[in-house]
Amino acid sequence: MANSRSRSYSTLKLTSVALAALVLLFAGIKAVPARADYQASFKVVTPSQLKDVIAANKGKVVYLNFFATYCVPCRSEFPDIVKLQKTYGSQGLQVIEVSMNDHTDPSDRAAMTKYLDEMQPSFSVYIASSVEDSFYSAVNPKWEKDGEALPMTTIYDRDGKPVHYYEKALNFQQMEQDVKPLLAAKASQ
Amino acid sequence: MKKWIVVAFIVFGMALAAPMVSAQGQDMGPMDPTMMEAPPPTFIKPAEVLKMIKDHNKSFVLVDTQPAMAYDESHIPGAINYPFQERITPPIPLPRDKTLVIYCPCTHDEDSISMAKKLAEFGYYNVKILEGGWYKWVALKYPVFGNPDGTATAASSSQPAASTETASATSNGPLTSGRPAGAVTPSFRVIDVTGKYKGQQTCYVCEYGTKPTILAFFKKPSEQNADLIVKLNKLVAQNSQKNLKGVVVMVNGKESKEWLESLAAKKGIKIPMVYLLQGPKDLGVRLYHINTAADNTFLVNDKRTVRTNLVNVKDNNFNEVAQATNKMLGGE
Repeated sequence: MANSRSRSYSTLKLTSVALAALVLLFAGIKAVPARADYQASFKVVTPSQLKDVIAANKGKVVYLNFFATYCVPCRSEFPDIVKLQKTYGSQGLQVIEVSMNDHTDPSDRAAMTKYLDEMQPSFSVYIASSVEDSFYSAVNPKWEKDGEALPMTTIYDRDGKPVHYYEKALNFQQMEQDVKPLLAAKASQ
Repeated sequence: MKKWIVVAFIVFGMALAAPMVSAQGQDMGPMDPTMMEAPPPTFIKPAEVLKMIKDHNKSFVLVDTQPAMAYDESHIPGAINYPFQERITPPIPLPRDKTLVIYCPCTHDEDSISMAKKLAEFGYYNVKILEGGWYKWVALKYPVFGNPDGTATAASSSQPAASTETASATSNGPLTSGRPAGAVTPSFRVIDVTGKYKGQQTCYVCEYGTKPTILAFFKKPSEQNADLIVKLNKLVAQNSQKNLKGVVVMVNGKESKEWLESLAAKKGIKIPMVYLLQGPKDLGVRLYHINTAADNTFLVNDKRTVRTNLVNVKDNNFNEVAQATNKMLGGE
């Protein structure tokens, strides 16, 4: 009897230790993205990887925006893009940001981190694998041909089809005007 | 008792390791810039490489980034061919246990620098760039395999127009610098000294967009360059109604800051004057194909495209900049 009680006491202790460890395990997993959501995806991205990211978001309206922290027009529209995701994220909008800062330059990366710490976007921010002409043309030949303007925005419908394209900064109203009808439409499949 | 202490240690260990595991699981790209830093490119002098070749030094491998056909025609003896590519895809046929010395048929080693950065993404950190690349090696009359003249032609023909032009500068042709007419004007970072963002990083190319803009790159402060800046400022003021913009970019970097401030104060310069943060090694120099030997490079641009490229402009031929600008603005 005493033996059985001791065994059940020991089982109880083991269970509580395991439970405590499970709590820690989940806390640990959560601790990484909690640092800042945008930094969890602060990855170097090539044009082909970017196409995969867009394709993976099929079913959502994708708002793809290219910016650089030193680009004044980019900075003027960035807070509105953050607001756009907050407002329409629940309706199926996904902002994908790509920074054209030079990922090989520590000072440029530091500027990007500082800026994003201020902006606190709730979406993924990638950084271009190259800032050469070839990157622009691989993303969109028109972009390179037109002079590699920043900011650049392409808006995709739920089927992943590019619908709107801009080589200038937009305000919130203009963003809403494009995004709302696309959110209202259903994907064809 | 002992048993459950051991079990407790194991599960605690798992719990502590969890954040590391989950962080690794999120790695989708080739490199996480917050985790890894690509080292700045390091250069090696041609004479040093020549000595290593003569010494039969086995600790390094020369990597020729020319197109295969150009490599076949001529290359540095012993070099292996790994043609320049925008995107490196594994497997990479380069040794990891030797120093890689990369060279390219370019004026500013731009392909080599780019290649070194890309290789760093795949863990190749022991990479050096042969200073001056193929052209300097040939100019120094160092040993080559094959016919270097044939190679130069083959290599140039596979390069964009800008590279072909800059290549001519190394063979005693006219000094060329800057993106050629017809090329686009990419966004690039500058540090503003006298413009409306003074003290900040900015991008006037981004801000001016499609407006007619003269981008004037200057090697370093000089009396002649000061005179040219005064003339440029006047030209922009005269055409302000036509939305003409002008930007002075100092290639030598921060050293020119005080000179620019003093020039703005003394001469009343209104157009923004900026410098490149990394000086002659700045990305802007590479993106714009600026020849750092040139005293100045004037790019007369419209709709984000270079219309006229003028190099080493002097006081007595600034009118060429004015004429090109007037022609661009409507042929006055």
